[in-house]
Amino acid sequence: MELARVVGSVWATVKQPALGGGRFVLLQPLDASGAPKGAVVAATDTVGAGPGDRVLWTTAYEAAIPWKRLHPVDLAATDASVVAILDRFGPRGEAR
Amino acid sequence: MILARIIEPVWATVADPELSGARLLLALPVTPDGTPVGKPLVAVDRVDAGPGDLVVILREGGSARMMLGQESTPVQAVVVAVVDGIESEPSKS
Repeated sequence: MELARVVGSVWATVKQPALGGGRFVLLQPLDASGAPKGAVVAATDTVGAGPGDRVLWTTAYEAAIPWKRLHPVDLAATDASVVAILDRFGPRGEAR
Repeated sequence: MILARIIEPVWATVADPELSGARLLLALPVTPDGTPVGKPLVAVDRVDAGPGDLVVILREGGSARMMLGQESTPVQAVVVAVVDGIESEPSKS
């Protein structure tokens, strides 16, 4: 899984039927220090990530797993999906 | 699998059901002589690695799922070893 920040979302009425009813977010990949690095990607989101959230996202087959859990489709047409929202504060309350 | 250096743990209270509660570590891939290379990644930790540890990370979902024994978990990286020692030729690149 890799780090990214949600920088936007995408609506599409005409799309692959398997993607019906789903949410797309725009992710800006981050480097280890949290600075933007690499191109923005569109990803499906099943955990409710909002703009500005730092998230973990995954690609390839693993990206389809969260989708297929919510949407009973054979072929989930996604190769990138958000799998976790990083907490804004660590266990000792320090901002992350 | 790749060599990487653990930077710090990461917490995600809101996550995919199969991921919540997993111990997640932020790591930076490194060459055998320790130079960072490539993008950072977050891996599920199964060997109690800590910040600063040199580790081996398995980077493929299928084997990660087999290792974790969970068929439907969106994991793509698992820390499988904490390196005690390393010997390698100096890289020519």
